[in-house]
Amino acid sequence: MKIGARAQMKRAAAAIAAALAMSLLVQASVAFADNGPHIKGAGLTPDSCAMCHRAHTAKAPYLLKESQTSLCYTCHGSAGTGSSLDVVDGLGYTEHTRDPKKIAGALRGGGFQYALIESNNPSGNGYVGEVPVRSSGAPVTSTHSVNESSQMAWGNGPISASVNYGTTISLTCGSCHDPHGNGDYRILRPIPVESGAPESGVTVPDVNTKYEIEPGRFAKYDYTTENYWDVEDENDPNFILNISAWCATCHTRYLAGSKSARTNSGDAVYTYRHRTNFTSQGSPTCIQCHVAHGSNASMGPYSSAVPFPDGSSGGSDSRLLRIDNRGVCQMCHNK
Amino acid sequence: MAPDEGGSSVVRELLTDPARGGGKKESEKGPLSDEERKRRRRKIVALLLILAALIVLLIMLLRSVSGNSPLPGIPSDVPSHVSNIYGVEQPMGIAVSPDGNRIYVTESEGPRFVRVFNSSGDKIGTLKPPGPKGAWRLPVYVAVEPNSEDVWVSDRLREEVDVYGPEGKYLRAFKPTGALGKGANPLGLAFGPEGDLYMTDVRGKRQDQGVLVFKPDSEKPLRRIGKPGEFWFPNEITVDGNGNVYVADSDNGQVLIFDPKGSLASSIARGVGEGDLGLPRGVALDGEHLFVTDTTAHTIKVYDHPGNVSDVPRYLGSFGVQGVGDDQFQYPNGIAVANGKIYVTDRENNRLQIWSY
Repeated sequence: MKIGARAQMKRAAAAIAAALAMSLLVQASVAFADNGPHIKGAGLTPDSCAMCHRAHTAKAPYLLKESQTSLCYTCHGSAGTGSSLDVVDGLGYTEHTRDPKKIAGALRGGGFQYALIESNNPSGNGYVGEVPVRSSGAPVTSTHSVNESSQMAWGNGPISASVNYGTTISLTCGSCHDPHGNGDYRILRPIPVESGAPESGVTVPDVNTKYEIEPGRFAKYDYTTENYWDVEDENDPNFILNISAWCATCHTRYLAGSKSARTNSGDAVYTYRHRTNFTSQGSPTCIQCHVAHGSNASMGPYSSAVPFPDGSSGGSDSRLLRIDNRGVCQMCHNK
Repeated sequence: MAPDEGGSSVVRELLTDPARGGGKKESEKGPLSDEERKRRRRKIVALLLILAALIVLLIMLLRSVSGNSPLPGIPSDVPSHVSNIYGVEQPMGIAVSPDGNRIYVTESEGPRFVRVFNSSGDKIGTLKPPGPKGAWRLPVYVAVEPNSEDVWVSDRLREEVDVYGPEGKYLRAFKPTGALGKGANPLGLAFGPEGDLYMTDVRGKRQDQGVLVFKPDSEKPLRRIGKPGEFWFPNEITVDGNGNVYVADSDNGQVLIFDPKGSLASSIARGVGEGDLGLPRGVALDGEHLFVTDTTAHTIKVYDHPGNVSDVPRYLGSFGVQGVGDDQFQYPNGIAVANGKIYVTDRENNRLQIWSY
């Protein structure tokens, strides 16, 4: 064999060896480590970013590696063995120690599949009324949908003399909550995603008012409740000042001032409106009557016949109300 | 027949190459030109590359049918997919009877039963605690007591562990006392070689969470493993034959390994390097391997089972990638090993998967 042919053979052999080595390498490295829960203040060399994000190979908006809801539910769903908050079942495990007789804690915002609102059993009235907590979850009859499906943000946008019901948006958990942590109440975003809110947004402040969950032990946050009519959060009495304005970052025209019930707003759809802009403690806000995640309240024939603002059938949707039918009216007005 | 072309003509020319003993034919045709020799050499190279590609394809084929072993007859570091079993809603925990004939899977959605399958994947029963229809429950993890084959199921929502006989009869509620002196919030369950029950407790704040050890006939813990604040939502737990304890310290992204006295001996860390962990939820052992489900990486990581508990387990590889295919995972969670097989709950794909070496 001549020298040239030998060289060719050597090169071919090297190519074969390289091809084999590459094939084995490709087969060996099928997956690499991922990362765990997000940590606020993770420093300048965090590995936690990679739990949810991919810089160049993301599969969902915001550079997320996959559906945001699935990611959130891995810790905060019924299969969420990485958190004390279960937003699917409407549960908060941490606060259970306050009352060992009850099953877990009832999440103030309700859940996306179940809620623990004893909505058929209100008592008292005014601000000292009570809506008890159920001993087991009931399927919800209305929710803010967080599965990225399209839905109407009723009342979104400014007062309009022409018919304008709102804006179609798609919500995920991160639309309202900032998963990186921002120090605000319930890590609420000042400007919910797709809300179209002004640049300043609405900040709902948080404070570290601690409550004693048992002698000598204090919890920083109180996500649960034992009375669904009591919307005063022991953690932060100041949030009441801002929460309606925050809801109105999406539902703009639902924020209404004094005398709005008998003053024409000039809007073709939202013409006369219940006042919602109270700012003093003990005054009704959006969340006095509604929960944020989901409610198990049930609606009777008249309530079910109420259409959505665009005239479409509301069916048995409970509009996130805390009490069956229109019990929320009676709690204050007692007609 | 068409004239010789392509590969067959290359072979014929190889046979006539003077460098390969084809000098007689060359002399009949006369000496080859330099250009023709170069052309033949190029063809030789091309043929060898084609052969190399065929070898690679053959190896890949063999790996796919022989347990991912690089070569036939050589044991693989990671198992191969065997089959899937459907009929569970958002499964979380899994355990298998020692003979492999009963597979217990907890559901976190739908009716939230513990589904029981036989080794063929047929549904043979359901387990649920007594109570009125529609009563709320949330079974999470399950363990089989090796001697009696009783089935222990943690219910996080009801804050107790339900005990069933091997035939599915409800026996009792085990209501463990937690670290706070009140009820526990049980998750992972395992039995040690001495018959003790090991349970992860996620009740309360981070400093209260940990591992509790019980005699199965007493709801008061014998001892606690780990220092206050060491764990953050510990999930599954397993114990080897020497009494070493392996805990999926989930939210800390690590697996902690304790010696029989409860001292931390070694760990597998959180990180982005090969073999590092992200969100470990499940742990299981066979004689040679430690398996860890890395839930948000959608894969199962395999380590050797070190003879010395203080040695960090050596990473061997992983099996499964994210997806909906037969051998792919969407949020794998619980894992069990029995009778030579590895069983994994594939939560978002609503199934369990069986793998084997």
